[in-house]
Amino acid sequence: VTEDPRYRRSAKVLFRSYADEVVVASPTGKSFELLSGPAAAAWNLLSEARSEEEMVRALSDAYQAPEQTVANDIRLLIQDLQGRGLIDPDADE
Amino acid sequence: MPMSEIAEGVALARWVAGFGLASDGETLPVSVSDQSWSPAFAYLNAQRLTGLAVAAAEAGALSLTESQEEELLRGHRDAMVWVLGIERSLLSLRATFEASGVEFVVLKGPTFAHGPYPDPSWRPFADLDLLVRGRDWRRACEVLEAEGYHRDLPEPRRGFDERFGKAATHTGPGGLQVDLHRTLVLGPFGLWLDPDGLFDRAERFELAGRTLLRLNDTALLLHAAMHASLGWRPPFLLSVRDVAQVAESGAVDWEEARVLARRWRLAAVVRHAFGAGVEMLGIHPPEEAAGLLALSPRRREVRALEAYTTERRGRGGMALSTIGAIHGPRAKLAYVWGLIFPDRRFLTARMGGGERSSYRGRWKVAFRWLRRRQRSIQR
Repeated sequence: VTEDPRYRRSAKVLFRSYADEVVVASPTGKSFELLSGPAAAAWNLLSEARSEEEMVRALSDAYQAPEQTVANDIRLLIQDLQGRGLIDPDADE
Repeated sequence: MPMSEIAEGVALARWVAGFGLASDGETLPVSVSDQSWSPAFAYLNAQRLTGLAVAAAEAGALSLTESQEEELLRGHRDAMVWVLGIERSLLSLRATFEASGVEFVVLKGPTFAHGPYPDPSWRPFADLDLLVRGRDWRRACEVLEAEGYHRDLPEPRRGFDERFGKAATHTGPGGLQVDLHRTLVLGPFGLWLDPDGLFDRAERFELAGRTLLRLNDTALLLHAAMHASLGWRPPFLLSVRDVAQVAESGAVDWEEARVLARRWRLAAVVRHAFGAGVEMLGIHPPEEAAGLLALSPRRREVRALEAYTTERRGRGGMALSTIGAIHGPRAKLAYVWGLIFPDRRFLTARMGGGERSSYRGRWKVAFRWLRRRQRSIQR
């Protein structure tokens, strides 16, 4: 049985989290990412290694949203953050 | 704008500056009228208190209307983008300095944010302060120049920086200012402490997976006190908060703080900084600070402090106090000579060209100081 991949924030990124927003910066980039609402909550969850499923469950509970809708958003968010090098697959897997 | 609105804005900023620490202040949710919001927000921004205001609003201690909250969040978002840009530059400079063999200690902003504050977003900052050893000073200036940071003001005369200077501001790409420090503060207090010895009181901290050096919490407390007491008149609210924050949350060795404050002649400075915490923020020093605050300042320290905190500041008080702190007549003469006959390049940069950039223009300033001094003595 293969476990779902787990992700966590890259230790190499700079960020600030406040209210329901997070500003994230790659140390070598030029731009800044602004995450707000559920995306910011997802970022905060990624302080620890989490699978997509765990994140979907936590966020659909928190925002009282259907799991399927949240699952689609989370999948896209993880792809985006991973593509920008802001999150990493968990090395302890 | 009516005074009452300005006063309400200032009162709110003071309350915000004390948020989250044990203070005498209001504990019920605090709110601000729409009329007073504009000056209050401007003041919060200017004093870099948006992080504490957002935290207070999040905790339900500060009650804001929707539009007030939106404006506050917008302001804080800008501040956070700016600090991340600074941290990005810090990491880039770390690599360059390391390659050049120049060790530095990060001072102030990033070290408070990633140290004693509960969350880095509570503590915005506007620039970067790096301390280097006296022997590395020239090399460090060259490294910054090579990275596109240009020194705002040349030194008054060759060698003045290493002997009497505090820091040189370098402005880099995107307007970021790096204050390259040789010591912690301008004037007598900067000369009385042992700047290179601060490297023995440095410890490591992590930023985005990279290791940097910062002052340990004991030295950080003393630096925070210097900045709060000697930096601005009246003290900058966030600097007063820094002192209270390190005292409450930092791993301060209070006995060592007492010994260093005595050695570096900071007894009056530390008292003044904690006094500002009580007066401006309603925050009392922790019991552990009793020994440090019981130090009785020498008369010379008190006089030196007055050169920063009273009207003497505008009458050349700091320069005169500095002369008193310099050892030996030759060194005193070199300092005075540097001030009276600085290089032409310095004069032009300092006085902005024209008649004012002449020696006569510079000496007029000294005469003005003397006249003000005479008038105040006659009064």
